[in-house]
Amino acid sequence: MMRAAGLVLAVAVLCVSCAGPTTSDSALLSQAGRSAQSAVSELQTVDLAARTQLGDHAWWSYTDVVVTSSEDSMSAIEGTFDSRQPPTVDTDAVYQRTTKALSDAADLVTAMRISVRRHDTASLRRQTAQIAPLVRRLNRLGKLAP
Amino acid sequence: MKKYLAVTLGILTAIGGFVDIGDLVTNALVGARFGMRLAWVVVVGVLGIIVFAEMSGRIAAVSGRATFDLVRERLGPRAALVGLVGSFLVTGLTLTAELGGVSLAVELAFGINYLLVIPWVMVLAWLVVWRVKFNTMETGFGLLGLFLVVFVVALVAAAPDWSALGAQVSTPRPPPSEDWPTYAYYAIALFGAAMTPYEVFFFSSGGVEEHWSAKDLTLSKLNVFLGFPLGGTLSLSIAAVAAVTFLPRGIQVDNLGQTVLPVAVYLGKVGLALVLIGVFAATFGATLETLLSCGYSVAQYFGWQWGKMVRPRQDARFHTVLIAVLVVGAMTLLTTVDPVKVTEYSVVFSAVALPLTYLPILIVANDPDYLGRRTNGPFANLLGVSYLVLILVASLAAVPLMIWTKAGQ
Repeated sequence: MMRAAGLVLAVAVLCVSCAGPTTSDSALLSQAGRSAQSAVSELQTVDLAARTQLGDHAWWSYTDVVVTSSEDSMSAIEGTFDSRQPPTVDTDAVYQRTTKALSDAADLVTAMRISVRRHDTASLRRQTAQIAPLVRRLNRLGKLAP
Repeated sequence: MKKYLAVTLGILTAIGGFVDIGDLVTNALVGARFGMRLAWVVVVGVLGIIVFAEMSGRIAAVSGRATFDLVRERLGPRAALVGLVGSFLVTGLTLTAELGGVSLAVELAFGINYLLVIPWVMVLAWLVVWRVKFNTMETGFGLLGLFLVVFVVALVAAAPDWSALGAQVSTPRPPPSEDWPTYAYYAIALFGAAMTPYEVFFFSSGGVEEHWSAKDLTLSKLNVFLGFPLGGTLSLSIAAVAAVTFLPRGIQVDNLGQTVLPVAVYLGKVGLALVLIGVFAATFGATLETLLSCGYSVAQYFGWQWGKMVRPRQDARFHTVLIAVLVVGAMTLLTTVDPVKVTEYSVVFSAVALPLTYLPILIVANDPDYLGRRTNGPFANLLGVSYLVLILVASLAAVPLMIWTKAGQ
């Protein structure tokens, strides 16, 4: 009985860890929307952490950890969506728009991580101002999620 | 006067020791996604842990024996073994999550990669369990954990719209952006985080370590009835400050750095330093508690010598279990598995294992052979049975909901 229970739990964890295939246009739209929402979450985290740092409310090593963590997450979000294939030509445009927006977001977070590690407040301030337009772009894509 | 000081100290320790990595992560995550719409689950969970901690404290004080010791004697070795295996695995998983929490707190404070910190935390935990007196250990980390009160201060400093928060509390359903299965999944996770099995093992075994007798019942009850609800208030403040800060920005919490970010936003560097001390103390204290709980449950089941009241040389098997569990927990984290994911799974699997822990306690608490005239009254039994039904429902629903919602994704 205990073996069976252990097996059920192991299978459950495996099931929730796997990403399913993209078999229809609606699935791709949904994945595009969810990826965009996740990217917005990471960008907003970086924005809040950077503003907290610029206001001298945190120390650099803390901000570095938070921004690096978001950079890792952004990279995973971008990589996962990149690996999808649009099932038909109808979703090619959405796929490309989403891929480009995610790539821009990942690049910006990486640039901000570099600024944080260099303690470069001027660059960090400039980069923080670029977050809002990117969030708006991703939010439009985020509406594709059901 | 000395007695009142001891009582106050006990309550403060219970408050500071209530919150662990599961509470920190789950409450922040839920607050950021659902606002305060799941606050009722924390209240239900805290009431549940009060019901069963009171019973296990009473069992320890009156019988002078800890939970698993009696469970095996009362239910027999086979039934007790099922409980032991379930609780031990969940407590071991929780220990792994706590070790990760301590290491992440150090990383956030000093910028040292948490993987480099894990071996040191492991050695430090072993040294504390080996050398430091039980009372000093419990009180020290419990009191340092009180620094988590900065979450309450940060919430006040955030000057939130209290009526909006109140409206969320009184709306026990998912927001438009979330569905019911995800809401139910996180309700179970919060419930599991509040009622983690190790809390009762540690509470009852700790009572035996501190040589509680029937005279200490009042102290035990005060710790439970005051300390736990105030600890629950800390949990709610973590959710509330996450709701105020993250929900409007669409931020989903998936790491410990985000959990403490609102404190830095509203209270600056001093607040950040205090909250990191609090997180370190809370998670390190819980590391010790989960570690000891693993050793307690195994040693009590097999009838070995156990506890910090005995010289390590006299309870070598107990200490061998502690070292083995600690090494396995640390090695698991060193595979680079995400400590926050481990935490999320540990609270859900806690919910799965809850009946294995709490049913035996209810049975023993009704046995006059052990408790004499201090067996459960009708009210305690009504609450106990009601909670067991709730626990059973949560336990059965946890894994299907985990698969259905892809672990709340």
